[in-house]
Amino acid sequence: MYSLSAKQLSSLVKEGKISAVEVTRYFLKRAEAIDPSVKAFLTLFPEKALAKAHAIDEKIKQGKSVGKLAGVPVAIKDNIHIESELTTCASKFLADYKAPFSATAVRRIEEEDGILLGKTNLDEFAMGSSTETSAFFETRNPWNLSCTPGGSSGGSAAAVASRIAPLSIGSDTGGSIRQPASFCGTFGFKPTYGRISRYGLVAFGSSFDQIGPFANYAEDIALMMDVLAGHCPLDSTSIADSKEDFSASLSQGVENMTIGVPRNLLKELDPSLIDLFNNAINEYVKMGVKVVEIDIPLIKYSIPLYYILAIAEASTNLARFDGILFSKRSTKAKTLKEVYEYSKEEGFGKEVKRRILLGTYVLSAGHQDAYYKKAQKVRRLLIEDFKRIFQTCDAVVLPTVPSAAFELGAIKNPLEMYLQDIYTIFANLAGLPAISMPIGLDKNQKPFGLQISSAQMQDAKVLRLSAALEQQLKLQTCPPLFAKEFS
Amino acid sequence: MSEFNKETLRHLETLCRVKCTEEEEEMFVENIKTILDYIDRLSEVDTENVKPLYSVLEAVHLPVREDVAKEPMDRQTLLNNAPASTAGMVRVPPVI
Amino acid sequence: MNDWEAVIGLEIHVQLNTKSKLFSSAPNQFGHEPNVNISFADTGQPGALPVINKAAIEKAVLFGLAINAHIPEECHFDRKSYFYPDSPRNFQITQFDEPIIVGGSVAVEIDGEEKVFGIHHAHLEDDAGMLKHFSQFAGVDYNRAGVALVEIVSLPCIHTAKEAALFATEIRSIMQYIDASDCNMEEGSLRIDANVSVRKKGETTLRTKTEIKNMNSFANMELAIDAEILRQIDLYQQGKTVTSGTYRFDLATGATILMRKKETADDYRYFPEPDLPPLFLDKNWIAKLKENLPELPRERKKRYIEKLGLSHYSASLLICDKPLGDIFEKGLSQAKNPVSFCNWLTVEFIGRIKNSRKSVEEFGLDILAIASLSNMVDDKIVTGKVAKQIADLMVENPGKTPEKILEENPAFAAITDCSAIETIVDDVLKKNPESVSDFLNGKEKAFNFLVGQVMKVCQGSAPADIVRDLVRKKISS
Repeated sequence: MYSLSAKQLSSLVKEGKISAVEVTRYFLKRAEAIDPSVKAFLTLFPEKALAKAHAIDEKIKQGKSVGKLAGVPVAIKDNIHIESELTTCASKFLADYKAPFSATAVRRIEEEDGILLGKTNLDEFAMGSSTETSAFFETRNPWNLSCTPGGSSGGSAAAVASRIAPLSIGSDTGGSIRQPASFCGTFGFKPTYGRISRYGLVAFGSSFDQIGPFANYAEDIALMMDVLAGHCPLDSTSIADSKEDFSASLSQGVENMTIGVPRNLLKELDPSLIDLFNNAINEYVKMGVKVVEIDIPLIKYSIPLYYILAIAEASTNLARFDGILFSKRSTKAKTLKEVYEYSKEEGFGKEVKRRILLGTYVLSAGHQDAYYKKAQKVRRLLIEDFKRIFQTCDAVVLPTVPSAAFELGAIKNPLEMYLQDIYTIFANLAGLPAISMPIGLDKNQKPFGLQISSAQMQDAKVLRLSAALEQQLKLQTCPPLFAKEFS
Repeated sequence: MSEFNKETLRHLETLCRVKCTEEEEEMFVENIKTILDYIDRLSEVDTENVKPLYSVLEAVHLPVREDVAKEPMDRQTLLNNAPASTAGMVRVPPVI
Repeated sequence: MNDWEAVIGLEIHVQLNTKSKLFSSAPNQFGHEPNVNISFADTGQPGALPVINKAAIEKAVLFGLAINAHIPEECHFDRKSYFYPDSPRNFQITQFDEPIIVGGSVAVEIDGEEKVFGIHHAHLEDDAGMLKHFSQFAGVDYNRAGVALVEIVSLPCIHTAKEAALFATEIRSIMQYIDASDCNMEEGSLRIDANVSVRKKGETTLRTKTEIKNMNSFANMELAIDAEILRQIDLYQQGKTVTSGTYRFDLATGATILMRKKETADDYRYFPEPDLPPLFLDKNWIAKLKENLPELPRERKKRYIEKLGLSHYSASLLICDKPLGDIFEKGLSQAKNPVSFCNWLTVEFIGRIKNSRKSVEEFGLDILAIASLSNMVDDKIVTGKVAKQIADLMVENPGKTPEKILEENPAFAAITDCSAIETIVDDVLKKNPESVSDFLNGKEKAFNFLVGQVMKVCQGSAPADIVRDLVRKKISS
């Protein structure tokens, strides 16, 4: 059952061939067996999941219609709210915080009869590229347990890669869905900014954040987009009229589409990875796709832009965690000043503190013009650049990350860690849809991902291109360790 | 840029209320200096006559909501997550 | 003292009377138990997002139109960062460099002259919660957090405390007239901060200013500003300097007291609010709002004085109290003589019910009935004296019309038949021969006595002028 797609599973459930309870029990067993070594989950809800599964089976028995995700377990990154469950953001600050409402994305999953399996691990407050800054524990890469699954949505990626859940959702601010998808050999998609509601996602970089799905098959990404995308009146940055039939558009094929490849960015890659990349491009050529060479000169400023703009937004988004109203208050604090200072000292990990300080700096008096305002202007130029690029091609294709998964603890230098996002940040800066899909294994048997991105609102094009390549490559994408039954 | 030092950091700590240990301060000053040096390359880009960007989505104008009062948030939900509360209010140390 | 001038700028915060808050649908209501009018967004819950209230934008724009300000096509919101327990996100959503209203002015009448005061800008922002202080702790109540505010910043063009009070009164009036706020200082829906500095007359630069906060009435504001002006002048005259700081006014001592010093400028780190795309205002929509702009206080006052012939005093009375002015308007549709109707309303009836602390409507009186009474006097159906009795009865029996009262008391009707009065005059003259001769001997008092006697017999229903004429005629014959 672990190798079935979510689409196949929900069809089987709807047709009565297997029950939702059976499916849920199956994946819960896998969680029990696998998660102690992968450590993808912060919380699991077996009772809640089974209760929902029972309810779905009842509906089917009574001949009532059920949703698109009927009986399919879905894991949720722990910075996205499920009402009355904990949302910890992998931080000590929110270790006891019960979400007062469900995220729109979660409600849509529930309305389509998806089964919420549990909350997955992340870098603290989504700040990181390895899930190592989680205040609770580190998640492991299912392809190599001494390596990171990437971050910040490491838990969601690992849960899907190891087939504990067919589907999961994460959040992407600078690459936090795509980079772990690449490291874990899964599909991970960040939609156009505003396509999926941010209501109920704990904000990091408000003009960068998007919720997005992880899956092992392109058709499942499309299925999730059918469920999750759409206008939300509770999010002022939500695009109106953004419902589309993504599943239907997958079959439209890619012949005569044009993809743009920024060749000069590939110079830094390891030769074996360049081979994988070129192989993928050749498959596109075989399908009748035209390839053009493009240049994105401003892409080298991605990191500076991100570490000014996203981090500035984050420094204000995290100001509310202060020990006053809903975050852990330091027991040492006697005065108001101490409540703020000691609570933040004890509640935040180092990476979070560092980013808040930096974000405060770039907004502070005397520095805002040189940093924040300058970055806002360059961001506009980057967006203009991409508008021009997408007049010459349907999509841009490049690697997701410069290399495969690194060992836990291998990267200690913050800047070196930030450079992980060098190929992914552009999509968040320009609000573009972008996917990472597996295109093979490197010489160390670790997955490597290809990134496809298109203009705003062209999410369907991205999905079509990824589905087409998936068909051509026909890869075996389950990590050997978990490609078996656990009873 | 490389003028970033411990004094600057201390000032930032006050602004954002994030208190750091001595050890963290040492480390952060170094880290942030390095990061700022990297960020400084942004000044290479010519942004003469470029308007700052306010929104990634040009198509979205600020949507408005009809002025209708709805069911408020349950007070108990608020207080359950609060570190301390008294008589329906969130309790904090006395404010001078 | 006379070579000094004060420079005053006011920052007025007006709470809008929208049903829900600025960025959430939580109810906007005053005076409830703590934390019962809250929402996820107003209490800064992570994952909650702001969605703006259409009515708040409309009211802000109406205000801008009323003060002839420029309303830009595009404006946006900004985050203002500062830490305080009443601010759950530790940033306020406000408008810093591109506000919804730019410029504008209000005209005020001072000592018979019109003076125009410029406004720098006005913007929308959300209010903070309330901190309640107790001895061992403080309690935070978020009921007020998120309520829509319009902040109006004047140019530093006000020079006396009196001007400040008049400026603030006019702003308040306009807000009431466009139904944007009830501007109740006691309930906190109107809050004023005054920035005060002084300089020698002729100086062109501004000296250091101080800020006065927490003034809870216009009267106290005038006193506070006057006190602060004197305090500053005094310092300069002693060769000292004025240091910036925030002051409050102590009514008992009549002095401004330092609350906190301002050593460094606050670094609010303003930047555009990423959760709110820019606000675009359609020109046509603004034009439509302008067409539907209600009559503003100054326009109404002008109309009352020029078209209706009301006195300055009466007009001011009706303008300052908008509800009163509104029911006056209602009654005007029926009243034949606005001046006398105004008198009946504001002097006779208000005078009779003022101890009840209720408005005319709350008391149960029908304004159209009052207009009717005024008409009855004008039409000489009853005399002024009898009308007062009818007014008494109307107040005793709210809801009863003067027509009904007249019906029940036929004697109230003005005596129109002169012959009937003549008979009574003859009778009175016959009965008071001494008074007649007194009058003929030059005693005016006697005439009034005789008239009075006739009126007495007529129970006030005889029109006074007719009686006087008749008495005079009869005596001379």
